[in-house]
Amino acid sequence: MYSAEIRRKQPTVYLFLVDQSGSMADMMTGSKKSKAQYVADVLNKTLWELVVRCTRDEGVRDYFDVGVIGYGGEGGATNGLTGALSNQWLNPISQVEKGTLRVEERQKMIDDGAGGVAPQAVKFQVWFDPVADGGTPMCGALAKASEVLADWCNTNPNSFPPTVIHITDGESTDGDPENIASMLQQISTNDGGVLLFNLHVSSAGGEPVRYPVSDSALPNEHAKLLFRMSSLFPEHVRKYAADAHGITLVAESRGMVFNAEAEELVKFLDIGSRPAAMR
Amino acid sequence: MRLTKILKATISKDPSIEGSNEDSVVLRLRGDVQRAAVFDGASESFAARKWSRILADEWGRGSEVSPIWLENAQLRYKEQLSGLNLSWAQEAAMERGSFSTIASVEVRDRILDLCIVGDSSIFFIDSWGLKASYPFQSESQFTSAPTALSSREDFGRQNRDSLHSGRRKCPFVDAKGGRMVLLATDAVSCWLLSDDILLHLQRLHQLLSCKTSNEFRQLVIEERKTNAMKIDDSTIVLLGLD
Repeated sequence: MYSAEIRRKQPTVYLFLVDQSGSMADMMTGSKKSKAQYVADVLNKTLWELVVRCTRDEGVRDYFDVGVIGYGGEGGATNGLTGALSNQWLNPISQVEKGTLRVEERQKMIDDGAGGVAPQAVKFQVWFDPVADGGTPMCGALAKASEVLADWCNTNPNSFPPTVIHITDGESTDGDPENIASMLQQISTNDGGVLLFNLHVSSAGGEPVRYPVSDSALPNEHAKLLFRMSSLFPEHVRKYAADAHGITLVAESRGMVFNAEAEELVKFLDIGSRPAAMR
Repeated sequence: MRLTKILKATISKDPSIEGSNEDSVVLRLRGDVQRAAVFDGASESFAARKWSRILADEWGRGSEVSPIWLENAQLRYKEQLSGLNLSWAQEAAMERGSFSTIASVEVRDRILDLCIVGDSSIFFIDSWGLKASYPFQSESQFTSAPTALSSREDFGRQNRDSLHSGRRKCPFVDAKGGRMVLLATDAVSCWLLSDDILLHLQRLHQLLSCKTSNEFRQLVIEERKTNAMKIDDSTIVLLGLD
């Protein structure tokens, strides 16, 4: 299980579920940005990383199908990507490369060679804009993800299973999501069930809980719910977390962080979107 | 001591995609200095095929396995990529560089010189079976992130260290008769080094029974079907050692 190689004829999926409720306008702990803005920036950087990871001298190899589902506001679950990418819930990564919304100029601090740092202008590809409005229709978003991924798994039975990375800051306002999350994880290819990783972003500044092995240290029922909704990490992801971030994950570690601060969000997306072997 | 070609064969990870094979081979058996090598371009890197070809070309011209050889290859790689009209993603990916393993053997003045960087392997075989293998002895030693030679100039120290630690002299230099040297990229090497001894012997027999490159390709295709061999570019050079 979770050992299928990722090839152009056998791609995998990264599907991001992003909470766009009104509370995402609050400030992100550990950042000077709102949660919505910070999440959008990290998601855009993650999409950039996925594209670059698939890019070769002859072009972009379609190792991944990628989608973003936003939920909140009046519309419930909506396609978080725009333009040509909004016509499908999942797009081949080569289309994602072509489908940037715009390119912004951002400042990056670099070593100035004299013991200090200096700003350097860098190009920043944007696919996803921040939104913060309305409630938290988490059930609707998980149901949409299930629908999309059931179709995908039917047509890609030998692929590495899809990975769903869910970022939220609050509790569901359209019902109990646990059963729907469980159904989502039961959708499978021959290589295993859909992986669902949940990240709860903080504005309150509580102590983060990272990759727990049980729910005993979790502070409340909502955190325990997210724990039950979260998949275990496959071995290659655990190894990457150790090698790249010095994070020790055991076989029982759940793909979940509660009360994540800014830096934690970056690590979580990097770890969660780490593919198995690409050929 | 002379090397003679028995079989050179390769098959891409996906034979239906033209140009998808990122392995390269050098075979120079004429003259006083005989040499053979396999290079396995890392699929996850930017221009793996181009980089492994350049390394092979430069080495095939007679260069020593040395930092100078590598620097010349890096220069050629840079020249070939400069001036291309690249997308933003290609520019970003190019900065990460390209990577390739090497497993080479050279006979010079009755000395057998090996160089191995990464998980491409060299096997010494006689009529009794496998006598020695480098760098690994077991399938469990193959990892997803082998060391490799980089196209990036700022990887100079890592490249030099890899080349230095990858050099070794063959312990069988004085042995006589019926010997073979097999160079193989990692998919075949890992398959051959099965921890199940019976499976290992069976696979060695199957491999040595291949008389043509087509027979080798058929063997790989069959082993891929049963997941016995991972789907990756697969290349061998089998040489007689007399």
